[in-house]
Amino acid sequence: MLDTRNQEDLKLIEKVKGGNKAAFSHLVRKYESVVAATVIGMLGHGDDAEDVGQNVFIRFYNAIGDFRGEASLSTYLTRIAINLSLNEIKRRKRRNMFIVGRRDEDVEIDFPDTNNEPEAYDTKEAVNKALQHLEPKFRSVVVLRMLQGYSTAETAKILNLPLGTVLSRLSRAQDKLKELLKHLIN
Amino acid sequence: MDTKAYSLLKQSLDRELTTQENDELQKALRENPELRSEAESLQKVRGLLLDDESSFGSFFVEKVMSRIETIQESNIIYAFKRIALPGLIAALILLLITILGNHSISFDSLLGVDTLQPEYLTDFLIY
Repeated sequence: MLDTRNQEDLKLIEKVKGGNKAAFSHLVRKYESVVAATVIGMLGHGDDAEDVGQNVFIRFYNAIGDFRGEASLSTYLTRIAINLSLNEIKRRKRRNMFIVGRRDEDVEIDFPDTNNEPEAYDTKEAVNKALQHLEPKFRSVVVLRMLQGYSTAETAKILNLPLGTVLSRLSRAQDKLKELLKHLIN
Repeated sequence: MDTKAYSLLKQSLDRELTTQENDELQKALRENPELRSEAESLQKVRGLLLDDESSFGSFFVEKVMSRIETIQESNIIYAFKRIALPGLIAALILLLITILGNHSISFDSLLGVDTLQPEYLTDFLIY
């Protein structure tokens, strides 16, 4: 199944290399959700996230000649998405430091009191806020392992980290998320 | 709570436990209701994250394709500025030198053939 998908992608990539733009737009449509899950998981919803998402595909288009098909296209795009998201987080941090002299960790995230109207609170929004509350190094492992469903070995490979580091970050992130999302899981 | 059992519980979600570790965890789960509740909570956290489907705004594909078009157009303009424009200027200078030197703009005068003596034609061709 996976091989068939890869073969289809490789055929489309060959067409793109030959100048077929419709083939590229087909690939964008096919992998938009994969890139969106990674980028929005890392950066939250907003124009910045969409810009980064567009940049992922533009970078892929510009480097399409270098794509050898050793990794699946999904993994390749996820790797670009993680790298560009981490760059964006650094850029935001610099901007925040420069403008208001604050650190990202200082920013309070408002978790509403849901005791009265739990159903009124959007679960999706809560999950996204909780993710944004994690440090980027923890967020990236959570996004890959828990959102995208990569194995821990694949996560380690994408992030270029030792497996033990991924496991320990997952463990700490999990505790933090459990705490942040307790109003949804209890 | 038994911290070792809790650690094993978390690890069980991300890696395959050894038989011994698994037995230890199963025993702890049977004996400890608090640990069972933690296991449930961790599964729920995972469930919430897995359900979190994201997508970009409308016309995302069109926006990407439009940006690619724009980049390609600006690349063509950049290439023209870097290569074609200096080439054009060089050709114009060459043409001007030819006009001023030979008082002609013919192809022969550009190649210097119009001033060539017939006895030197072989040398010219070999050269």
